Amino acid sequence: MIAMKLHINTDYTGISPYPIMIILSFIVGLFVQYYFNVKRGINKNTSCKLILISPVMSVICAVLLTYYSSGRKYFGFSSIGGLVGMYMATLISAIIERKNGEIKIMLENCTFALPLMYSISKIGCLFAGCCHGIEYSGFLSVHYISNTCAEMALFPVQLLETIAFFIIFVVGIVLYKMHSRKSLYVTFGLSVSAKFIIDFFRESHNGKVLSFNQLLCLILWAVMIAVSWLYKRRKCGRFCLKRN
Amino acid sequence: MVVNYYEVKNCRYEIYDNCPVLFPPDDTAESLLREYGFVKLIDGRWCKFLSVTEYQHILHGNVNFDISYNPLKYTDSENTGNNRFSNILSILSLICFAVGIEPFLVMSFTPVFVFWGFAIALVIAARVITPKNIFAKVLSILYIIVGIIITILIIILIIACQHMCDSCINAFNDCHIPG
Repeated sequence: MIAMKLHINTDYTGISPYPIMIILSFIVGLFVQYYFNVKRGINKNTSCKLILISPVMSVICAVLLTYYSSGRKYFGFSSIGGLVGMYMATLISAIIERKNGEIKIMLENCTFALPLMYSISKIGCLFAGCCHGIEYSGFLSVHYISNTCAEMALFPVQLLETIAFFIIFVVGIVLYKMHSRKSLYVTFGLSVSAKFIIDFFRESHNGKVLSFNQLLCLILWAVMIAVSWLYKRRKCGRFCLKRN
Repeated sequence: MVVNYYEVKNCRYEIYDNCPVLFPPDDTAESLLREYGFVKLIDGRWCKFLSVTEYQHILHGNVNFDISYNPLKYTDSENTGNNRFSNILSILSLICFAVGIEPFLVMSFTPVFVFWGFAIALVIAARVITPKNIFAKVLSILYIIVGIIITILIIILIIACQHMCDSCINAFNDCHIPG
């Protein structure tokens, strides 16, 4: 059996791939979101404002979550913080424009784009050596080589996430093209579940029953259930509806 | 009920997800639908979510949206009150932002997040209550610009720190202890 291994040297003399992939993930994700927004009838002005606000809110929330979850010890980028920032930006843009129905459509388009953004950003993590997996020397193990630490053979958890979330993105788009009303919930549910399960293979999970990220995933599940339940029960009170 | 929404004729008035909407005929051009604010639902259908004034227009027995539709007839008369309230919220937002500048300069982040968080929340509230309020609009643009500048500074700081660490480590690696 061929033991395929990835050897990655994390001593970069030029620019590290990590910021490049983060920026690329924003560019691609925001383009997908913009494309879907315009295709589905959202005003171009609103869609452009969203491109402006989303990266700012995403970065700020990502940094804030890492800062406070580490006990104010260090800064970093948290993917769940970034997700919250993207949703907040979308919600704010939709509420300010105040056109009925646009909030749901913009949040749907954000949900479709997020797995693709996460998939691309994890390529940066793979090359930077962060968010790495547990010790593993089997098929496709990642061997990090660096002048600052000993060579490590680890589970390719970032690669697994890249592939898994790309598949989730494709599944979401296929379901959307098939006009399935479940496409939104399937995309979001699969994303949160994949993040939860894959976290078991991360080195930071060692010695814990549930990691901080997994707890956040459970919260996201609860938020999804609560939002869908509240949405079904809402009555458009401003209208005092009369049926024809 | 059949409603003519400007150039989009023979729309079907229905209730969708507890909101009044218009569904256009299937053969209507998408470019025309986009022009008049129709959106595409997840099930593939195009529809127009009616605003409160548009809904009131239909409730009054009108099925045509043309020059006879005057949204001002149904507009909330307390608009000026909302505008004043938005101005107060905007001023409070500006005060919170100004108070947060000093802790930012001395790198004490918790008060910065608190004050600037309030500033952002207040300006969002002002924009939601009266979207046309100029003061709130200008403040929100200012906050976005500040946010972009800070984001760029954070990225530059991270890159600079990484380069500093790399050059320190390379310097140690080049040290050879004799013997």
